[in-house]
Amino acid sequence: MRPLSPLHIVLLLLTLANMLPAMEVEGTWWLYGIAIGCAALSCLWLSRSDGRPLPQWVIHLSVFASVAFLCWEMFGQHDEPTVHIVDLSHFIALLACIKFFECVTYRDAGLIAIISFLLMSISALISASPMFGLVIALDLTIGVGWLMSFHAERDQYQIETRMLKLSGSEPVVVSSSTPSRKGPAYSRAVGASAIYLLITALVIFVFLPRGLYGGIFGRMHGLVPVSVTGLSDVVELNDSAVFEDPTPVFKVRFSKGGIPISGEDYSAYLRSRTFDRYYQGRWSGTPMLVPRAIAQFDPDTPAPLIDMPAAPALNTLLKQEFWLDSIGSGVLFAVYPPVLIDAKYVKGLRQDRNDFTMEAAGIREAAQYTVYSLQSDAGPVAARLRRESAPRREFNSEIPLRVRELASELALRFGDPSDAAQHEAIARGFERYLNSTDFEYTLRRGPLRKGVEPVVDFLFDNRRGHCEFFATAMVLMCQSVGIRARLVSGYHGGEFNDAGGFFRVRQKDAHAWVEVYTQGRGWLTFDPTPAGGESARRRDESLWAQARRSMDFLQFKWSTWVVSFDQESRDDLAAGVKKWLAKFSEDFDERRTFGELIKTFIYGPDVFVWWQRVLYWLLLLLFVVLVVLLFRVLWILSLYVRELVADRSETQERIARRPEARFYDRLLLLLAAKGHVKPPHVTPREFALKLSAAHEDLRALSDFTEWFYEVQYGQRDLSESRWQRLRQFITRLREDAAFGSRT
Amino acid sequence: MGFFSLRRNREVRNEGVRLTWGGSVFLIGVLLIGLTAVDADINLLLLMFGFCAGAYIVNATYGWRALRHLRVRRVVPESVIAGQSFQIRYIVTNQHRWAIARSVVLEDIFPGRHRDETPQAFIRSLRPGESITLNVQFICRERGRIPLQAVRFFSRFPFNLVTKSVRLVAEDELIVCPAVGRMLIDPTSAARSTESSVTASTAGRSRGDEEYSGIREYRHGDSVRKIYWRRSARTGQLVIRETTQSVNKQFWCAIDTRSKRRSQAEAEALEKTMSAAATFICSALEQGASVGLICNGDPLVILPPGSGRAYRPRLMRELGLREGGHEDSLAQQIRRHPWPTRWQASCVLFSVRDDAETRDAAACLKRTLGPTRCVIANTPGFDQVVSLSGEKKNNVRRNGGGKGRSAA
Repeated sequence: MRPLSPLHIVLLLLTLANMLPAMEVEGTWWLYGIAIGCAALSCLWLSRSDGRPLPQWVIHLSVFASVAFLCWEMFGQHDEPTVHIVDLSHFIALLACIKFFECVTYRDAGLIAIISFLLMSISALISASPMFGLVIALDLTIGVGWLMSFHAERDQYQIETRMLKLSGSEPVVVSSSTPSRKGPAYSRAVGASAIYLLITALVIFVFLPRGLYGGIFGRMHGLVPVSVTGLSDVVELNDSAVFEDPTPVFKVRFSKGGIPISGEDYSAYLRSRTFDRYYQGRWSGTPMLVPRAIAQFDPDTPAPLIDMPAAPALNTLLKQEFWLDSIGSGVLFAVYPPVLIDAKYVKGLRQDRNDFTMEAAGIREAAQYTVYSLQSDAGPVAARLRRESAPRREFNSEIPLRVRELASELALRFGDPSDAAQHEAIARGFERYLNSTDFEYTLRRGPLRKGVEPVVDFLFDNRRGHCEFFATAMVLMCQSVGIRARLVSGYHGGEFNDAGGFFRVRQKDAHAWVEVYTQGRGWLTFDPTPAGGESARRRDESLWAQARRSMDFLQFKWSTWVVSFDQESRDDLAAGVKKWLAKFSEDFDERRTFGELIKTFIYGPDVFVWWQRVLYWLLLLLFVVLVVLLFRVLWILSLYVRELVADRSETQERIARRPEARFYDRLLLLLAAKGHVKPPHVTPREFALKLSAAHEDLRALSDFTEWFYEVQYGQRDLSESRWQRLRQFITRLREDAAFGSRT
Repeated sequence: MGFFSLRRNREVRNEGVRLTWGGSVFLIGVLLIGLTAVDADINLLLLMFGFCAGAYIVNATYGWRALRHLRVRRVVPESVIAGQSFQIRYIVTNQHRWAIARSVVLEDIFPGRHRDETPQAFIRSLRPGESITLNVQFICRERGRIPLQAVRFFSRFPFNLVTKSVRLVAEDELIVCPAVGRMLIDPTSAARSTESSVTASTAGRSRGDEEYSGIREYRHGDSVRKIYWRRSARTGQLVIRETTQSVNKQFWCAIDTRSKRRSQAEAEALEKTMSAAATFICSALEQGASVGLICNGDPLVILPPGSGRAYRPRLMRELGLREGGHEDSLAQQIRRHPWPTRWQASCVLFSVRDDAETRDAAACLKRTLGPTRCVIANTPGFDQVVSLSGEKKNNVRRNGGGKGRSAA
């Protein structure tokens, strides 16, 4: 392989690309810089030294330095076994850097390609970023092209070398009937191979067995972006980046006293679940959902959600009309405290009598319900509510000592925790503390330190996080000083639609906040998350912000479709295909297997009698024939298109032959069958003269060639007598084996 | 082939798919990746495994159509000289309507030979309907008949992990004539029982009474001055102008091919004998003499004396095809055959063995045909008559010419 040939340069670029994901995991960009430097320097060295590699002692010294670097990284830097794999990738990258300087033979190029492949494998083991996907895309296009070109050149080189050794001469291509064109045809081959490989790989990927892991390597992906949802049963504090998922959840319209509430500034806290038990970075709730019998006061009014003697005036309540999207959960959202519900389309309503969260057993897609919430803490309904919703559960959260100490210190600053009347003031103080500029709102807080409690890391070290960190910190601080508090998840905000007068709420509007129980006012809502951070970020519509959101979207899709693809995803995929296929069969049954469905499709519906079945099969056969014919027609059309888009020289060559002059092609074919092949460099006249001189039978060929010139270039037609003579000659040439061979 | 045709082409035999060496090693790596992926349940590794395993499937299936539709026509010379390069021409056509054949290796199948010792050529790409002509230079080291039965096309395109190959029936025959060396003495004098010298053989040439008779390929030992440079440049092969002297003589070349079937030494001696005989015949014919051939075995070969370029291939072909491994007495076979008096001429007997049978044959030839000179392989006299390798030429010349062993 020639140094600095296109093959060589593409190999270096591909190897550098394959290094990217492995380098990205640990952020060792300086090592990547070294690799780029080595690639550039090697090009310079090989061009200046006429392809001579570096001296051997330099190579040995570099390898020794790489081994020393590996030992230092493995034993001096980290102590986690999984990091060793990253270290190994750094070592392999350094080896590749050294090998760049002696990439002279095909063997060297092959070794660098193998090193590149190893780096890709390690990246697959440790990386979860979409960078891996981008590199695969690069490998599939440029890499496949390079590989094909590389193997072709190597094969040719090997054969030529072998033949040179055997006979002292290389095989020679004497002539080709058409000139060889590398460009478009080669690109097509690369494209076809890449697409074929991609499809095969995806099929294998989807159908490979999953869930069999024994744990030798374990799951090594730590930083998979997640989408926070306001629907989940648990809240977990981890170091994953949060993705702003634009999936719609519901639409909601607010009104009070018949007047719609609109505008950008209005934002309600729409609750879904509450959590009051924290243990090692994980919140879990203890819902006590019981069926709620809908006992309507009259058919035209909504049903009460709490026991009350008479319905309150509807114009004093906040009306919320919900249109749920397909969310896959039975959660019913409402602003606290919901008191009335109109749920004609909701079945099996259940309610937690303590925190007033609601669920429905069967929610159809795009279900609709209306709920009314109390807006004031005065009146008999509010008093009853305070009584009913008094906290009854034991606090059993595991609160870290440092959090307790901080909370005690702060509580004393804001009031007396032993006095229940001051709980609200203390909670407000905690809220202000967390709202201060000491804490920063972010969706990418970075990795947690190993063995450190997430909330401790948030409060004392990192001081950055999203709403769940803020809410968790406040709830734990409250609970640690004896204030009843719980974490609430749900949705907050949304995008107001002027035309429809409703708020479109998406997954990215998921939020977590705090509810604190006060003696006089019951449960009050607190939001310790800095409001400015989130709202300011959401309003950022700059190009950079949009690009970043697009990258987030890409990363999220990569995570959900590829990195987190599991058995369940595959089942969903299969179910989707099954559902699609089921459209062909009316008597589709959900319980049927895939094979049975295909069988049904081929066999036809069971209700058919024999003659109907025969007709069905005939119809099916007709359908298959039509499909085949369609493909055939498409193929012919593609031939026409190919002819149209063919390059100029080819088109000219094809157009150049007049139909009347095609007899000459026929003559050439017949002569070739007798061993007289016309070399491309010989003109028709020279060819005819040579043959007519050598063979008595072919003397007439000179005349025919002249006729060919006349017809082809003189635009004349052959007379009937000439045609007759020509036909006789062609017939004799075809039928008489000896004709044309005699000298 | 028609659209729905199920006709099977019997000329093409599918040899299937097999792993290359690199593919075998890579397979181990792929399996390790697969096991790790399943064990760790890491999707990116599973994806990687999918790509690697997919590469095998793509490699094994891609390009089959074009490979199966390749057709080849082989053009081989009627006979070639052992140890001299010759050209085999392959005209390869892609008969498929749309598939392009890429990175195809053409390999001729020589029975009993290792694949690395057979003619090979590489075709980078061959478009539908396209024909390509490949000229492959090759050297056969051993004399004899080489039945050519098939040509193999194989391709490792695109990833070099597996090799797919098809075998096409292409029956032909290659006759390899014995290697031709250089006569160290004048062949006309070698055929006489009297001694001769090199100076005698060169005397004719220096007098300038040579006639141009044609062109032939350059052989080791030919004078560089005879090289026809213009034609050599055009054909890519060294050729020389062949001249003949106006010698009106008639000679016999008799060969006693008796040898043991499994004796390596005698087999080598037989080859040397054949080469010496070929050298003698070529030299004599070049000088315009008529040469006949007698060769024992089953059957006894007698080619009456003839001359000219056209006669040489006939004699050489016979020399190429004669086999040893028999004990048929040349003397007895000669005695059984009637010999016309017009065939009487000087004779050179080439023999593998130096024994009583050879001497008897020489005596018989002398009685039947004329003065007979005996040249026996692996004897000092042999090397003084014929040089089969270039190194000995000068030494022999310094020794003052050749001296064969004469029959009594």
